[in-house]
Amino acid sequence: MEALRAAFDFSDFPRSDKIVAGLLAVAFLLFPLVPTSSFAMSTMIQFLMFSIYGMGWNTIGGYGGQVDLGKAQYVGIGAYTTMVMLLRWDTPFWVSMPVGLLLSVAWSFCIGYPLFKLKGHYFAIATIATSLVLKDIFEVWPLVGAAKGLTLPTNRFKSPDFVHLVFREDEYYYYILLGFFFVGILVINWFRSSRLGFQLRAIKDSEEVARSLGINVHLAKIKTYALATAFVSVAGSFHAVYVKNIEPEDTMSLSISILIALMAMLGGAGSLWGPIIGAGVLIPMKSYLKEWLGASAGIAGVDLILYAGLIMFISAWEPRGIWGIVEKIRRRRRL
Amino acid sequence: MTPLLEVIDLTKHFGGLAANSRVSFCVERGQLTGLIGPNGAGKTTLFNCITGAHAPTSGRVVFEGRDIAGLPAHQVARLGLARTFQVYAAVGDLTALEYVMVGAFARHSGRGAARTAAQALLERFNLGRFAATLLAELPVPAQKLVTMAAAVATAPKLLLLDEVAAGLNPGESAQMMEVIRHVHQDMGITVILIEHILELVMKLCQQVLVLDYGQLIAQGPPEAIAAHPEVIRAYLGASYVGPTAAGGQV
Repeated sequence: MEALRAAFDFSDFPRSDKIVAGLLAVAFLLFPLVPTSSFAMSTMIQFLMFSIYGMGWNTIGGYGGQVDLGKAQYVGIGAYTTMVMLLRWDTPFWVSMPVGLLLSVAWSFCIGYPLFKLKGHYFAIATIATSLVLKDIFEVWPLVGAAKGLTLPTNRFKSPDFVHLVFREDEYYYYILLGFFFVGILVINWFRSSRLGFQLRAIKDSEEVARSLGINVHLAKIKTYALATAFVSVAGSFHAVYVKNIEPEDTMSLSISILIALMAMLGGAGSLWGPIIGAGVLIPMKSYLKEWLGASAGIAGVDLILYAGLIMFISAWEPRGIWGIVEKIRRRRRL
Repeated sequence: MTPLLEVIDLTKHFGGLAANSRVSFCVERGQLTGLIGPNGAGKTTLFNCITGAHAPTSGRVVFEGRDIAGLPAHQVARLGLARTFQVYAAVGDLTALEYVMVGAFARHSGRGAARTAAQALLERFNLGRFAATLLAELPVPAQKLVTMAAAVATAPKLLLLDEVAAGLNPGESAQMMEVIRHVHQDMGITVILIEHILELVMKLCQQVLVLDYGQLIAQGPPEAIAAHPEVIRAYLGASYVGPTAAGGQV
């Protein structure tokens, strides 16, 4: 009960934040009613999806300061669980999504236990490694379609199918994802003021001090990592039914892991709005760049150049990202 | 009645270096104990061994009748043994109130209860006005008080303070001593403190332990320690051990 109250408690934000957030929420709700191109629609869906990935990353990476560059493995587990179950047994999305979540969390415990014995860069590198190994396994595993991936035949379910989440129109996907997005915000809002959230913030400050205050550092990290995983896995399951064609390369590649972390850091690691702001900046930029430059964008590596520039900007100028700049200005004005 | 803390033959080696060797002492409930010694004497190592930050090489640490040597630091903390750190630089984004709440969460699982407890402690420590300030932005004396408040928020039976007055000016350290007196007397927490300002130790403590080169060279009430030849030798050199001082009994 108290957890529920905490989830809806935004009282520590200034009124201006609440107004902006409220207006944006209304705008998001009304967005499909405004005639837009399907390109804008798919960009919005990408934005929501990456916001959810970023919110998950932000628990362990932002509040906890454990830079995780292996989130794509959970996108893969979520997406493939849903796709495999759908193709083999016509399993409803609302069953396969929780199953994928459980598998992801179980896997996160298996690798979280040894990985959190590592610190700093070593932890980051190890997360990359586990994610890539899992991707390599998927690429040769016949059950998940190996490197070819899995495709959902278009005529298998009749649109709109709310049980299997198969639609022809993007609007349906948009509203369901928006629901996940709002729930995600509430969960993070609970997390940041929960005992676990405080423990993670103390760990980011100093593990030695955190231990002296009775915090089981290893366990707190594992628990939070599982929470982060849950976010990513749910959005991954959604990704499967949305794109209907998944391959290891586009669900589990390193560039997805990096994009997730980068977005959250750009927006502001360790803040509620950071990952959303980061996704709001990066995803449209990425989509429109691809649109303008066509296929040459990938060849020229324009997006990679862009990421590199952003990483330099964040690390050199403002480690707390865009939200850090906002907070800095606010604090200065208050003083 | 058994003492609150009993350290028996505690030894800690780092490679070939004996940071503590065969240290034994007792701390009774309600006592305020000072731990002094020249730089590098092994005071902080002793704290680390007692609180589980290091596992001792050998020896026992008996807290309330239970051997806690080698237990992980967070479990030691939950048993009621809290500490502060000599060197600590806040880098995170926690405010003073949130920082104390981290400690309070060790005893309260709900955030409302933790917040109330933390707020009350900040008031007690005269830090109420800093509640919403980031810890990293507080002046050093206030930072030290906040970290101490967080340790006290875990509701310890025994509190180990590692040079809380280091780097403070005389006015600030007097204030710090007042807070320690409050924690010890009014809140009934047993305290061991490492301190370089001997005058404060002598004024405040009921028992003083002296470490030198990892060994406990003297223990007893402050007056006896001040006259103890080994202590004078350690601090001032052998030539200061006069015939009058040599008679000091412990």
